[in-house]
Amino acid sequence: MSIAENKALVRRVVELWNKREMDAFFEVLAPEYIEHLPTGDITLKQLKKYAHTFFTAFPDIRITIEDMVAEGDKIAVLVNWKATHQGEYMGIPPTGKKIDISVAMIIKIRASKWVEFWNVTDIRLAQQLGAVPKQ
Amino acid sequence: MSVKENKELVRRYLSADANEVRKEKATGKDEYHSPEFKVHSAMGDMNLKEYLQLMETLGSAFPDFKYSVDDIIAEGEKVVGRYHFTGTHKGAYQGIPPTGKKVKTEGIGIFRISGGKLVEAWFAADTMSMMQQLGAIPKQ
Repeated sequence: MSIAENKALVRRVVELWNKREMDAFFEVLAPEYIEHLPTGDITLKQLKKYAHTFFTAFPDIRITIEDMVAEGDKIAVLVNWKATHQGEYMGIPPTGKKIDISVAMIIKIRASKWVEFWNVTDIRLAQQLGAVPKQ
Repeated sequence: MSVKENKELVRRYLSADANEVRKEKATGKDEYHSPEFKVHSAMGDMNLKEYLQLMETLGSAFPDFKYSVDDIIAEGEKVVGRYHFTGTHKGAYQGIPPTGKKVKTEGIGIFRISGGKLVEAWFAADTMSMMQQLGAIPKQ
């Protein structure tokens, strides 16, 4: 996979997220896919469950790519999320609040499949949901 | 500057500790930031002066803090660093009195480099987990 192909794959995944074509998205993930989050690692099986919760909490989420930096088999992506909080998320009941944040993630790609993913949960999401005060 | 040199700059930058930051402050020598350096982060957008002020606050709250690099990805004028921050909470931080707790948080920083200096940075850091480790907000 070239860097251009890896970028095209990421663009395609973001399109699938926005169209809620989750089955097609899960097909891009390798069976050994691991997502590294500050709260611990999650497997493909766990992600399938989590993704459902996430899109139920933010049913109108619109994800746009702000920047991509790629080298070798890795690609870093800065995305913007715009959404309304309409379902329970991380124990926070629906607030109807509008979310607008930028999130950075890193993806490792092998043979056209996502094999590893790193993400950090930014405090901005919790702040915009009113779960923690703004600094 | 080559991509390799840009990566080296970010690798050094994301390996800084509190002592180095204090030394830079004392000597006024800054090998990393361009004067027009701009930061986009959960704390809002900052200019160089505001950012250095924040680092000073961080140094008094976590006098033994240390950044370490976990991964580096570079292309063109951009370098992305995945890093972690460790430190002991010995001074007030974001209104939280010192707890003596050791914290570890992770982050991803995207840097734009020009003429061998950092000109722009986007930070996503799990400051949420930092506040949880300090007991300021409940763990989920």
